[in-house]
Amino acid sequence: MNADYMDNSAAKPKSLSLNKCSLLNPPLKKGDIGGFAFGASGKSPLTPLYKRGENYLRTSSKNNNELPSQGRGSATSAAICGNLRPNLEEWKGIWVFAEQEEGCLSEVSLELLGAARFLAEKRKAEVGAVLLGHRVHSLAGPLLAYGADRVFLADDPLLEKYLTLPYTRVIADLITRKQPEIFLLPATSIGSDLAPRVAARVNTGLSAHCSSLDINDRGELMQVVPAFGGKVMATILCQKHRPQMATVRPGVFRKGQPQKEKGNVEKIPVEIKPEDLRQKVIEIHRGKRPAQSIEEAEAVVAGGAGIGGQEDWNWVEQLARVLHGAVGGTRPPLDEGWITEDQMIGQSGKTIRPKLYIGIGISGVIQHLVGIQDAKVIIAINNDPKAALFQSADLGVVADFRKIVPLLIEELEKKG
Amino acid sequence: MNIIVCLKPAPDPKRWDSIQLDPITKALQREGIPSVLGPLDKRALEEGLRVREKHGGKVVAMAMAPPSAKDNLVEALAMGADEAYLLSDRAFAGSDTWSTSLVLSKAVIKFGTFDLIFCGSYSVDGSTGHVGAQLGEFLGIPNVSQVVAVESIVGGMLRSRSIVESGYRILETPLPCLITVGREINTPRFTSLFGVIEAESKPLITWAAGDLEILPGEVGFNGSPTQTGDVFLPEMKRKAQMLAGEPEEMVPEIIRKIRQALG
Repeated sequence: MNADYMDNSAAKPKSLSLNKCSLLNPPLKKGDIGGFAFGASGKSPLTPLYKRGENYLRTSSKNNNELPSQGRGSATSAAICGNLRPNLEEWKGIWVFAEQEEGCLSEVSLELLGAARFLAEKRKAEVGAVLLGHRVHSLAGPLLAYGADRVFLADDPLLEKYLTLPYTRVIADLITRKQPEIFLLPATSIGSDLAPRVAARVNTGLSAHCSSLDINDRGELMQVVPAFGGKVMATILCQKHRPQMATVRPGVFRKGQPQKEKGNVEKIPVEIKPEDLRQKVIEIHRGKRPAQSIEEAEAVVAGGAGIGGQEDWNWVEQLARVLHGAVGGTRPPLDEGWITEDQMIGQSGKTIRPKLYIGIGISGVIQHLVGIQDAKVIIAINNDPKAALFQSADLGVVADFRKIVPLLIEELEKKG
Repeated sequence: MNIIVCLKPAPDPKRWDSIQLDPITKALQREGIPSVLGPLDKRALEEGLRVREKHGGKVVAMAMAPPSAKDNLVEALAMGADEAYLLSDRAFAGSDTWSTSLVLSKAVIKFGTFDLIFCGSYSVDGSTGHVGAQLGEFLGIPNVSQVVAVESIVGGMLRSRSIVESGYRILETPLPCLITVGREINTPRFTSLFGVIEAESKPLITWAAGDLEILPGEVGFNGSPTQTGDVFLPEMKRKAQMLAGEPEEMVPEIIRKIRQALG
């Protein structure tokens, strides 16, 4: 969604008429293969018009007249012409990108399988999990247990560590061949890099950071996304392109209960081109993960700019400790280095839904509020009675936290 | 070295409180909110300037935005960019990230040769974080996301450090490539008075759809694969029970609430 132009969105017809579209479409030029045309040609609708990889731009020392403008321009025209003969019914199945690193599945992949299961029941479709890596066959089991009917497995040494281009190649080829209706990816560092690249390659729409997903009887995925830091929510549709792609942050959906595994594993071919391999991983460094992730904690104590200093930050941590909870924060504590990126709550951080959230010295900007709105109970402690967080709290405490928090810790320790 | 920096002028976050939704037309009303360059845009530009200072060359700022965003490009010129391009046309209105990336890619191709493109990892308003990777794809060049340090550029290879969950990743990527920058990459410089004066004589060129050989319907509302349906302002208010007074009096009430919540 381009928020810049969102104010025009109401003027736009919700479902675009094909006739109107055809008037705007340029006729196919000679040389356009029309590979994007849906259906009638009998070809895959997503055959690229120019060979990928041959269009790497040259550096400035080389000839600058050989830029790939021609191929690019015609690709787009054809993509639009493709809308004239939509054959969306041929696209079936709800897919999830099963993210793994070093043989560990990310939790959010399982959460997405839960969401995919929900959509698949409505759509009477299969759930597919797309698993890439090297020697990761054993991860198919958990994927089947958490809701996949089929695991598409690409196992290759070249896929051991995530790199944008090889992963894009394998997944885009698979999408072209199998034609899934919906493809969900986690909004992690890997998923957020991969999803837009894949969507651009297969010429389809993508929405980011969905807070809810549903499907209507036309098979349209209704993707509710935030804009303006969560102040505005909008439903995004991708009516004429397939697959309908969306990313979802960790913690937004809940994973289901593991079931007895059924379904199967389908090995998929890996055809990576040499030009996909020019980028190299030199080093991956993993710091210590926090003892308890804030998405899973029943209690989260979060601090904001009002904390003031490292010494006072200890009160936030101590309160979390006596509550057996996790520590989180807003942007300023991250900038100060009191918390890590993993602990930042809000629109550009984590979405949490604990039983109890205690916000200390947090003003309550909208970007933070969207990350905590699903908490069962919200307690706000701030000496500024005008702090916006009070408006979104169940219990508001107007006081200096330095006087309150030590007493709370003492009391909670006393009674265990 | 030719360095292109893509910027996204967006409504000033400090003024988002005044964004309203027309209850009847459901159109967002944000008249009078000026557009600004976001923190990541400025960092992308700063990094471009630093690479130029080290390796020589030219920094080109580009933005697809309404005509009013000229001011934001003047700011980029004042910060140190050598030239700026505003991609502006009614036909671009309603572009989603796919369509925006396509417009940018056509402008980059029209501009000519380049070695590096910098973008912010995500914009302040839409915050999808899609455009960097999609622009890379449309140009057929590799992209690197969430870069917090450009460690070296040697022999046509760029070594970068990206943040990932609980750590970082160091990659080597051949030029030309596209880098999206994260918050930690640098602290953008302030604009000097001299820079502001100098900006007046630097080229600021506007390209419309026709200049980029973009056909009507290819981008914007009709060319975008995604459409925006219902728009709403979420209700996040709760009715707080407010406590004030002596800490000793308040603590038992807070403890009661905590125990109740954790059941």
